[in-house]
Amino acid sequence: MEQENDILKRYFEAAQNEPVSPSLENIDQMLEVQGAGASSAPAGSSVALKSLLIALGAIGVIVTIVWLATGNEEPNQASNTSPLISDQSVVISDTSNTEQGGAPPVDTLLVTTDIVPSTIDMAPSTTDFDTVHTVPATTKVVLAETPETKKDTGSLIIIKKTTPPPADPISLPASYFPTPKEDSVGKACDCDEPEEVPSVEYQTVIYGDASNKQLKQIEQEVHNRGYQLELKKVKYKRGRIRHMKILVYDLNDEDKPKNDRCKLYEIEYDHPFDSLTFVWRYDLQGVPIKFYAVMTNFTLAAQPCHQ
Amino acid sequence: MASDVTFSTVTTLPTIESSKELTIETGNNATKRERFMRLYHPVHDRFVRFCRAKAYGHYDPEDLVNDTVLKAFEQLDHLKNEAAFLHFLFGISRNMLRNHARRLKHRGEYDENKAAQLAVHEQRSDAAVDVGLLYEALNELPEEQREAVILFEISGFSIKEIQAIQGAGASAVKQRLVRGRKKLAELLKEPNHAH
Repeated sequence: MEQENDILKRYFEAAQNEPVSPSLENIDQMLEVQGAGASSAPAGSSVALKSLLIALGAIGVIVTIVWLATGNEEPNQASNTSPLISDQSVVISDTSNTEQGGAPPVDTLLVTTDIVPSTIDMAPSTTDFDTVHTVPATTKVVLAETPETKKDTGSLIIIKKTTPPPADPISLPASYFPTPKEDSVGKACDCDEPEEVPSVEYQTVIYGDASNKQLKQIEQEVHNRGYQLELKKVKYKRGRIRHMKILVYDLNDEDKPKNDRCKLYEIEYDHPFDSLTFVWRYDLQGVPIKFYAVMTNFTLAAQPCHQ
Repeated sequence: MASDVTFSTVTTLPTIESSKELTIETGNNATKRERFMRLYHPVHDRFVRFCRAKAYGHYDPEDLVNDTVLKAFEQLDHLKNEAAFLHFLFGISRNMLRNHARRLKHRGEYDENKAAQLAVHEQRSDAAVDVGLLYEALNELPEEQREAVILFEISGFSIKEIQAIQGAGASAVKQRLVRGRKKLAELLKEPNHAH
C-alpha cells in the first residue's frame, strides 16, 4: 500500500501543479459576450480566439443581399464579399472607390429583415420591418435584442440601387466617374465586341454558421431563381451548420434521375473559412446571362441551364 | 433604357462595426452572469483540472471547459437548487464528452491531439511527461473509478463533494477510489507506462 502511494504521489502532484487555463477572467469575459447576445461557441483552441469569434460572428447570421444594379459592371466585382453582419449591428456603408474612377456612391438602400423583434436605428426611426425601407446609404442598422425575446438569427436583405450622377459633371471631381470607353462617347459603337447588355444581378449570400431555418431562406432564394438547392454531408457544431456540400439543380429537372439533371453548382462550404455568394445575372427582360458561385478564394462560373 | 441608369456600381459592402452595441448587456443577463460566477468561482481551478484529465486524448480540454461553461450558463435558469451546482456542471461536461465520443465513432482514427502529444513527447519536462503518463493510465480505468480518482486526487474534491457530483453513496465513492488507485499504480509500474 505504501509503495502504491509512493508511485502515485509523484504523478498526482505533477497533475495538481499544472497551470490552470482558461483563467477565470477568460471565463468571465466569455460570459459577458454571451450575455450580450451570442448564443453559440465555435470551437477554437484558444480562449482569446473563441471570445473574438463569439463577439464577431458566432451568432451565425445568414445575410442575404439582393443587389439591383444596372450598367457595365464586371461580374467579378460581386466576388468582393466581406463579413456583412456582426452580432447585433450592421453599418451599411458605401465602399466604392470613387478616387480611382469607381462608380458613384450608392444613394439609396432598400432594407428589410426578418430578424424580429428588431429596432432599427435609422432616420426616420422605425421598428416596423414588415415593409421595405428606403434609407440613405450610410444608414446604421442596429438589430437590437430585446430583453423579453432573444432572437439572434435571421437574414438581412439589402437592395441597392444607384441613380444616375448629376447632369453637370463639372461640379464633381473627375475621379467621380469611371473612364468612358473610347467608342462609347458621342458616336455609335461599330467595334466588333458586342455591347454589354444592361443587366440585373441578384446575390444570394451564405455567411456564418448557418442554421437550418436560415438555409430554408437560401433555398427559397435559389428556388426563386428557378433552381433547387440540395445539401449533402451536413455537419453540425452546437446546432449550427459548419460544413456542407451544396448542389444546385435546375428546378425543371426535379422529376429526372439525378444523373440526368442539369447541375449548376457543386460546392463545399466550410464555416468559418468560407463565405459563399451565388450571383444570378439576367438581362432586363429576365433572360439569364451568366451565373457565378463566388467562394472565398475562387469563382465558379456556370451557364444557366436550358438556355 | 440604359441612359438613365448608366454607371456601373462597384459592389458596396456593409462593414462590420466593432461597436459598443456588441457588448451591451441587459440587466437580466448581468444578474445571471453574476449568479453563475458566484457559483462557478469556487470550483473553477478544480473543474479545469478535471476537464484536462478527463478530456485527455479525446477533446481539447479548453474547448471542454468553455463549451461546458457556456452550456451551463445557458441552462442556469433550470437550476433551482444551487446546492446541486456541482452535479449540474460536471453532468454537463460528462454529457459533452459522451456526445463528442459518439460523434468520433463516425470519423477516422487519426487523432490530432494524440499526434501532437506524441510529437512533442521528447521535449517535455519530467513533470509534463508524468502528467501525460498519468492521463494515459487513467484512460484505462473503468469510467466511474477514473472519474472518482480524477476528482479526488487531481481536482481535490472531498468525498462528500464527489458523492454530489457522481450521485453515489460515500462507500461507493471510497471503493471506486481504492480500486482505481490500485489499478493505476499497477499500470504506472508497467514498463510501457513508467519511464
